[in-house]
Amino acid sequence: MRTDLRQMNDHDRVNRTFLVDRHDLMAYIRALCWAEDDAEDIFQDTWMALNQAVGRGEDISNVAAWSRTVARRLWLRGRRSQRRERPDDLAVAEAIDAVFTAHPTEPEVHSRLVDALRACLARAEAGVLRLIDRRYGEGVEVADLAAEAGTSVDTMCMRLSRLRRRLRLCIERRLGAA
Amino acid sequence: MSSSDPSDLLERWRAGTLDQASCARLLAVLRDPAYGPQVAADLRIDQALADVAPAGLTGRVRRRWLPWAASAIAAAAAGLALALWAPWSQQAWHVDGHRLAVGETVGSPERSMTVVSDGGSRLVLEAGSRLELSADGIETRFRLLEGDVRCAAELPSGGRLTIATSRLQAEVHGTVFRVATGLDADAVSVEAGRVAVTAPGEAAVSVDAGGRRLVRDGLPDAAGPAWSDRRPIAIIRLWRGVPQPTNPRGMPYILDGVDIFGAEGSAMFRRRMCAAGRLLADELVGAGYQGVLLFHLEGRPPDGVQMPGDPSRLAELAPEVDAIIDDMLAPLRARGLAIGVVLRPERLIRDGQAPGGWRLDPAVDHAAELAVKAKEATKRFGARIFFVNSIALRPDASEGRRLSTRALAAVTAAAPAALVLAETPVGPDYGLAAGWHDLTGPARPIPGDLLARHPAALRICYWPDPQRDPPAIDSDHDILLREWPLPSTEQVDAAH
Repeated sequence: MRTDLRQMNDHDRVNRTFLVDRHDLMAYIRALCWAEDDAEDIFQDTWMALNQAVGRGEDISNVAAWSRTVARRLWLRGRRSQRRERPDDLAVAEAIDAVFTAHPTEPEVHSRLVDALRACLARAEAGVLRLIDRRYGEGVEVADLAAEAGTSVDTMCMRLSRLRRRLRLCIERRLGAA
Repeated sequence: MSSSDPSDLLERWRAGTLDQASCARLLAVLRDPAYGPQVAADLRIDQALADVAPAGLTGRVRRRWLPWAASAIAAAAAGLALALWAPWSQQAWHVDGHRLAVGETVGSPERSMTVVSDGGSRLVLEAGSRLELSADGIETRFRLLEGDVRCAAELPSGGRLTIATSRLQAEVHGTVFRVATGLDADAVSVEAGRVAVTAPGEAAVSVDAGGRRLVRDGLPDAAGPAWSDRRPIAIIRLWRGVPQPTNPRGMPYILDGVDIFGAEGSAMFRRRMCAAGRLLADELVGAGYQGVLLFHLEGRPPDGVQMPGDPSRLAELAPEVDAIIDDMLAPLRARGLAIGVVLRPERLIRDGQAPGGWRLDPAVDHAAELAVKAKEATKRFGARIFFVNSIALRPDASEGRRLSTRALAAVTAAAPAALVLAETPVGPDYGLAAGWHDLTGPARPIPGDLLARHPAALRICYWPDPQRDPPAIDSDHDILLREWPLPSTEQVDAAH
């Protein structure tokens, strides 16, 4: 009975931590794979794996790092099964993981970030909003966006990264002013 | 825009357009602490944009699980009741804007579908699944006729939602869970909250978050594979070179420009492969191995087919291998090494529209197909190890359907003395086959409840590095499966 109670508490603790950190985990998964369905599958399978691990009595002290490791492995497995594996996949995925480890965030930061982002987007021009809607709302791949715009994939990537930089500067200004 | 901008490099890496030099630059930037804050911020902005961007018309339903699950868990933890958004007795269920009537069946072979209630409950049906609304109102009942459904329920007090299959029924207590019906078993997996699962003749079992309940047909609860040898097995990959017109499947030991089908090329290939067989036999016996598992026996597979897994059609798929493989394997067999091959549950069929001229036909009886292939491989190669690719194709030919335990049982029935290796085993599979385990991942011993049910359960522990020693494994329940390189061209020529 005591074991059951401890396991339930572990489940509760781990799930709470997982949910608090979920935006960062999703950000990590999205850095690796853009397709929303694939990203969601990895996210959910990671969550399942986490609960199964707790059920087996595994001691998971750093839920965020554990989850990123599992998510990375699931992503790599998916790449392998789709025969889309690239030699640098693991190295890049681990390097991004290290960035998240070195720069953790507080739970409430995501909601402040979203608020600031909304405020920045309120002043954005229609073309920018349309691009964001296509890319982030509908999940359109960069190659398709590039084809729609009649430009190259690399140019579209550059356009997106410029947009992100502008938003970052705007968000930093707003968060700094708050 | 500088090409050292991490955001740009990462975007291009994700799009697959980054060349090797730029990729090295991306790695350098990611590892440079000076860029860390910017990279972390950009990735979080990416995610925030995905959270705030307006939803598209399709494929956006799954995102909504998580906020709901978070609130459900938070509410449960705080001892609160979940919000009642609409009187349960008046709730209607809709799919694609159409209100479901009792007795109506929904599902599509091509796409997933979402059934929603007025109160916010959602059922997501995977492609190829069928769900029937049996009763609505205060006690809503669905029957899963085929496939897989995932449920996030918003239940008021007194409301009940039941999803039944032919073998079990799951009653919702406000939770996120999944019901799957398969060829020989049905399963309920609970992600959050709690579900009561009942099966005919059994008392209800409460399944908590992270738990799973499997109800299956009467396959015997076997102890595990009857395979007592615990010595390691070597993976030998026959596809090594770069495919060329003169060597279309990239077989080793053929010099660039030499036609593998010509007199010189075929003699060279035979001579070197047979020498490789002799060298491998010496090396593996010397190292204490019990056998080999041949990957890519057919060489480079046709585009779009990961592994044909059909050794019975070697003459058709790779005639150059078919001509020499018996002679190459003869010394291995003569030294007592077990021969292993890969089997797929689907059949490879010619299709002029497919990228490589071939595709896998998902509409076959997996058990019958595997049995035929296992028998043929036993007859020709004396094969005693079968790696079964157990991620079967769904009816729409996408990957992801788990191979049934019944299909694995067909392999063991066709080759009773063989060791069957299941790529993605679930509980009952361990009674018949060894499960694949990757030693580069987290250490995960066979769970105790599984060992209680299958005391002779076995794992094949894969280790990719031929140079470095693998981590320790369980000498009772594990067999090491290790990459073993083919001898070099110089070695085989010297041996010849």
